[in-house]
Amino acid sequence: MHGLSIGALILFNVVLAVYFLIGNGGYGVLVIASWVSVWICKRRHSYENLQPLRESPSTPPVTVIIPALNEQEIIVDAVRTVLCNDYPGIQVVVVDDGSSDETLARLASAFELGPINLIPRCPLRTRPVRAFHLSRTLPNLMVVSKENGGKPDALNAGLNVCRTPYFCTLDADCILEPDAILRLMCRVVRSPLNVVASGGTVGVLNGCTVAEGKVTKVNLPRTGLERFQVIEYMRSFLFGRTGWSRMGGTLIISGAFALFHRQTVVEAGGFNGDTVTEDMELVVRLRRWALEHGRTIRTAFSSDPVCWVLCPDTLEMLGRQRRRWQLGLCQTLWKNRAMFFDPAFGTLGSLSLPFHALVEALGTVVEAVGYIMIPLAAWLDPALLSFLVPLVLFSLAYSALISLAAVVLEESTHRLYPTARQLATMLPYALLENFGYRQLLLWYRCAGVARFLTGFHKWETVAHVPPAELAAG
Amino acid sequence: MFSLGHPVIHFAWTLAIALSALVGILATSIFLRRPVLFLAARRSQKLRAGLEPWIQGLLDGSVDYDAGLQKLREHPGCARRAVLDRLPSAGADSDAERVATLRRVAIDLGLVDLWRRQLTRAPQGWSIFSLIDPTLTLPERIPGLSFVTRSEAAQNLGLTHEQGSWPLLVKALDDRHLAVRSVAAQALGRIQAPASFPLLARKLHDSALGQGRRLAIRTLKMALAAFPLASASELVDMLRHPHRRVRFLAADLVAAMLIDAGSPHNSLPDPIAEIFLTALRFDSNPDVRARAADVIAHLDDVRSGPALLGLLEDDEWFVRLHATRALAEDRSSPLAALGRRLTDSNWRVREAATQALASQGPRGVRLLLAQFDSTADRYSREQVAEQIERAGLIPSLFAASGLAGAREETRFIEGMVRLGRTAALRVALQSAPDDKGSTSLTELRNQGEAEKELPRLSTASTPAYVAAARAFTLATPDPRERS
Repeated sequence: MHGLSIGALILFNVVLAVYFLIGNGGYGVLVIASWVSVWICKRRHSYENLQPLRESPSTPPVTVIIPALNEQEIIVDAVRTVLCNDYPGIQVVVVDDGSSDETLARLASAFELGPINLIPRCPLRTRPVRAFHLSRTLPNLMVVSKENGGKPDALNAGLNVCRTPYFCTLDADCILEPDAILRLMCRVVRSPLNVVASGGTVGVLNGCTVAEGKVTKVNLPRTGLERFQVIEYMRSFLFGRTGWSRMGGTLIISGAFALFHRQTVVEAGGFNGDTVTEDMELVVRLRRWALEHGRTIRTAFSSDPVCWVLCPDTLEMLGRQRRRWQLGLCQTLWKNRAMFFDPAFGTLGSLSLPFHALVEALGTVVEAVGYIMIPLAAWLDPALLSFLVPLVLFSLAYSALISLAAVVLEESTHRLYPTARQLATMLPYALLENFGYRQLLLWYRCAGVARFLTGFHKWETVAHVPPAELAAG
Repeated sequence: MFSLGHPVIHFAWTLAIALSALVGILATSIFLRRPVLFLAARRSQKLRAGLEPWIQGLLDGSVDYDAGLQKLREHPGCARRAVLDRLPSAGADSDAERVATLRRVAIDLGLVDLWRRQLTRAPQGWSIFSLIDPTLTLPERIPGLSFVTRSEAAQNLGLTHEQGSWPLLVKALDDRHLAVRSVAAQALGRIQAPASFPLLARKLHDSALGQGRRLAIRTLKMALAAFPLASASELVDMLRHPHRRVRFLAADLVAAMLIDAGSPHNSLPDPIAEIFLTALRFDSNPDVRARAADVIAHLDDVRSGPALLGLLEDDEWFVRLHATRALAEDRSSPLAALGRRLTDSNWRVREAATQALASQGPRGVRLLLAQFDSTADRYSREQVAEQIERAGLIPSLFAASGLAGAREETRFIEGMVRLGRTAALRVALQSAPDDKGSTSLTELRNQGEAEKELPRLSTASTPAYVAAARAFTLATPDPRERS
């Protein structure tokens, strides 16, 4: 019996080693693919002049849809950041998704809103709209007040009043870079292919100084929890998303700020509320819809930083966010399981979806069990230590290497954190990320997987209180 | 199973140690790299700060040309090149005189020749020695990245409006890298060499039909639209092309050129105007007819009015939409024709018609009110009501309602109440004088809150009671609504 247990443990540890090899090997490929992309993206500034796009009457107008639920503290700043964006022809639609706080009142006061009866023309079904409000001073601002139905429902309500060929989704806790929309649109306009979704890198807003709707000074956040997230965002956007985009396997364009082609999204059915990550679900569904309808579409991703978002500053909020992300990933993968290994979907079906299922979804469980099995195996058969110790060391060192590489890449290209002190602060966090923070996230991700398996489907709201710097700004 | 001497263990340990060492080296190198980068940036900044006044002085003429040029030549090395390669940005998008000076400086410094060489440099010449060749920039040393240099060169030639370089840029439209092709197209749009227009248009034709190396249609359109209107005469063949996509793109381009030109009535070459007036407005493809409407609206020709009116009655809704919008731009448009589109079967056309009429000023608004009062079409009435609300006209109409000679305004306000469109009225009511209480009563009755308003009305003057009593008669629905 003892021998059987040892055998099973050895087998599991071999599985674990294979999982690490596939996962880390995959990340290695992403690092190489993204390194080239990020460097080119950075160099693009030297030859890609945005001025013609800014001045051309042919530049398509864009509607920015901001869904808001109880965002009274930040909603006015969010609208201002869009209104002062450097793009010709911006329309802003704020969708108040049944807020119980003063979100609507503050908007009404800041932008002199007045009610208006619009004829409801709704290609997409949503929860009932209570009222439409137009600004008396800003003709390009509209607020839709509706009953609570969740973020996808709010986005659909915004889409129903959107008349421009392209629209952006923007979370209320985001601050845009001044030329963010122009940069995303540039990828659409300059591509000979039909780009229907365009996204960019998101930075962590915590710690930064904001004035008049713009980030005026980039700083690292104060707490360790937030700083770990800075490293994580760097790794995720500079390597993960850029790398997959380079290979044509984009699974997600951050819904915090993304640009979409309106007609395509409407025809594909709009945002769907049957998963808790509507952005990822939409990107995958668009690809499936395009193939089913004989269309050729493309998604674009720019590693340029385009917006800044508040990350959770407490364990409770971080837990809510990560459980939701993991649940959404599992839901999306499960929903689109028919696309797995289907060469018709290109890299997305052949590589990206299976990789995410194996490494990001299933890997969570494998890694969690590994944390139990490795000590157990060592306890049952100390001889195994000689194999397990280098395995653990290797995986930790490799993970640290990936995080460090993200810092190096950021440092050599965008250099958002320019001072030596900021760099000196970031490096230990990149090295130490695997000791505690990774395990914490694993715990939340496991909870997300458990919720998926038990059929739990609830959107956990992450509340943001603007940091002191923002308020001061 | 695994002893310490097992090769797998050795391999695993070696990997783990090597990787850990790599992590350490990487972390250290980041730190060591920082001061090097810092020094390089400081050197570059210092050089830029030193040269910037001279560059600006040369451009605005406050510095003697030869002395300024000599100063720019004094700084050798890569840093100087890095600064001077950005030289065009200093004068980009400024007036023609500054751009001309900038071009002269670039030519005298040998930069134009350098950019031309870079744009045409064949990538096959790469060898292992390229990696350490100090005359090459970083992208040129690495195979596959030389497109960055070519793109930068094309960009600089465009920014300096270097006329003599257009053949090279046209050649670059067939570069193997999309970025170079895009930048070259933009550069040609900036330079606007007349001879390059037909070649650029040919590229649009090829892209439309999926021939040759791909280039974004929008990029080409933006570049071509920047040319003077007279260049449009080169588009005759494309406008008469048998393929509808080519005709559409050519028509779309002419429309964009007209918008870019800005002037409402300008000189589109006669043959082109003739094609639009005699052929494209009857085109079999509705997309082409829609674009024809946009162009015809800008023509200073007696036939353009009737042509637009014809397109206003087109079978396809989006042709009617374009014709309606096109007519909106002309203050002398026949309002009756626009008014007919208020009952169009497509809501987008109705919406465009209400917007067009509202943009015509009091004449248009009066027609909207008359339409609202006379039509039995509920959709048309709602559309008019929405536009009046959007245009912010409710307070002024509310203020006029009930006055002698303001029958249409009064009936409009009453009609709004009947339609249940009371949101903007409610706001207007809050700031209205008491004798405007007639409509407010009706509105509040609809909302079941009349009793709240009665005390306020009790203090109103007698005519307000009369008006209020009249408003109560609105309780009977309008018989037209039933139809």
